[in-house]
Amino acid sequence: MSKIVSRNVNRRDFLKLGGIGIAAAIVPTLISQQSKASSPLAGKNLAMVIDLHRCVGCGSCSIVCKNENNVDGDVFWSSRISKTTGRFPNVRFEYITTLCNHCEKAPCVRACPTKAMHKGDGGITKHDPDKCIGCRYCIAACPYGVIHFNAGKSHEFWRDDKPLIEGATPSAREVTQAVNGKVIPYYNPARELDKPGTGLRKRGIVEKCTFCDHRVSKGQLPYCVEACPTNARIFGDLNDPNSEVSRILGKFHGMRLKEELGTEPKVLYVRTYSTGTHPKTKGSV
Amino acid sequence: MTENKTFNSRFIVWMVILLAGLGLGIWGVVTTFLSGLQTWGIGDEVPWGIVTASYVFFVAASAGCITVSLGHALGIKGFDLIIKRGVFLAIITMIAGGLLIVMHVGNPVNLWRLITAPNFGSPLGWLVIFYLLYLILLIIDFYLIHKKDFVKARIFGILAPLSAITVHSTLGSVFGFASVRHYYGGAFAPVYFIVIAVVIGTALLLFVTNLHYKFNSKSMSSEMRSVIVSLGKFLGIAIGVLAIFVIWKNLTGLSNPDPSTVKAYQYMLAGPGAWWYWILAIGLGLLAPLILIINRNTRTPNGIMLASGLSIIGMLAARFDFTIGGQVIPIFEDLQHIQQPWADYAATFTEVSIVVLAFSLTALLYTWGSRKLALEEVAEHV
Repeated sequence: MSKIVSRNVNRRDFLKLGGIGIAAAIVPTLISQQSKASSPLAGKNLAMVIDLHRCVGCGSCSIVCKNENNVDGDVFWSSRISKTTGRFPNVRFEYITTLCNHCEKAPCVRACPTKAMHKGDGGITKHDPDKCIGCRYCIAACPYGVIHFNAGKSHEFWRDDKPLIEGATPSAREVTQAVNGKVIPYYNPARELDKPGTGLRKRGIVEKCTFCDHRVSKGQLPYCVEACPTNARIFGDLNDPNSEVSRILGKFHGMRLKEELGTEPKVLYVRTYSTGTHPKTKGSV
Repeated sequence: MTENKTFNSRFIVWMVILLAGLGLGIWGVVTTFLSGLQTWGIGDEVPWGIVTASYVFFVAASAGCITVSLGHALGIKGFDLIIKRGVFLAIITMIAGGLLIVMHVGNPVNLWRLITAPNFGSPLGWLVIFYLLYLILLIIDFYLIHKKDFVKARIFGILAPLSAITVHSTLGSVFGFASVRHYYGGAFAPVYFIVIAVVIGTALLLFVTNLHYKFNSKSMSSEMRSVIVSLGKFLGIAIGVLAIFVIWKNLTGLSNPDPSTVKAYQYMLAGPGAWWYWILAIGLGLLAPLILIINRNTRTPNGIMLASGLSIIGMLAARFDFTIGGQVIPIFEDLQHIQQPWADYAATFTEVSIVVLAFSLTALLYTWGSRKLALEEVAEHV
């Protein structure tokens, strides 16, 4: 009898365990499918239009990007190309703000041997720090020079003991300790929400602009777009004909950097940086 | 290195030098692991430096040694005298190459992902799989030769060289696929790499074999002399082919419609890289060995040893040129963090010490092998 009972119990236990096992296998799949289907960025083709005519070259996109993403001192996810061209007195200053182009056919994604660099929802080119081996092939492959390699620990400045002015200012380390020592001063934890460990970058891996995916997935604009004082950066979905980016690109020719390479960047430039005009003449011979 | 396994004074000096190199290298490895790659000269403008270049050199040496030993499987006379040493050299240079690539990556903790989840769209993803296959084939090949199972060894004597060519041309494609860096030559790179491998591998095999006889004050048999001389002639032909590649690479590079590509070639041919390029890569790597081999009076084992030694130095310098050449022109003319007009790279002491480690390790493994594994054994043709 006891044998039968124990066998019954065993069978019941077995069925229970089996049921739990199957549920454990299926539920996460269902949840992940559900979360995939309900991802706010799924099916979108996100792009940024930069209206160079509106841009004043203030550089706030580069600065606010650092605030939002905890980007280290000498690293620029949002950068710029600037040059003075022409021959005196006919000279001109040019300023083109740059960032990761989130190319449709991204050379970095093709290059990455471990799929750390990958295309995510909304067409964003994302980087997974947990998969990166730090081979730097993406840097060699990127035609735009927008990927950065963290050779040392990030934010090393904040571990510096030397005060800026002896006897007057605290050292960077003292400032860090004042905010409990675990994080850097001015640290923005929002970056962590998407994927833990992305707030402060690890040593030996690469990093780059993410189109502020942590904000975009919550329906907010990338921070550089939000903060641009002249509304020169416009963000939206190219698949939506009523989006502002689609409308602008209907009116103006969208130029892309190194278009001839066929990488199909999602950062498009309209109009020119120069605000100058010229008189209505036909010139002369 | 002597057959009677004596520890004469020459051997002791040799070991002291190697152990000093090993010690220096271990210091470099520890420094790199403790402080990260910031102890190296690399950065965002030049992400690949001297360690990467040396890695290419070692893999080329390995692939070349084994490709040359294809002569044995094909039954060419005399190759039975050098095959065992060739296969052993291929294994140890590959181990040194593996060490360099582990040091090259910034986050080696994640390296296992290359095997479990590789990106088959990336040449680097394929490369790792080919490497493993290649290393396995090499070890089996050596084991069979060591056990004198020459019938089976013949099969592996064909498979291993084929996988070596696959590995090294895939490594060439890693550079070739970086299509924005025209200096690497695109589709040209994989073929170029095979020729380089043959030159480096042949030179290394010749140099080491000759050195073995010199070091142990042994005289060569007439058969061995004739193999050395004919392999020397083969080295001359391979260098000649490489010279043709180099000439056309430079000429097409200088007339490339992309101005930044032209600038990269100008950097090498007439800019800051010129002395290095002309004296080391061209002078020592190509011209001097070619003259020594063409001249009938110097086409002796001694002359060929000198030619192969110079060629090895030149080829190592040329790998450095090649790796840096593709990165020396900034991607954009003016990004705020980019140096002008040329990206600046200087190898640091830590980087150099890791390269020294790779050479010391190879020499140490060879010394061990030559004392324990009877590398001079004849692998009979079957």
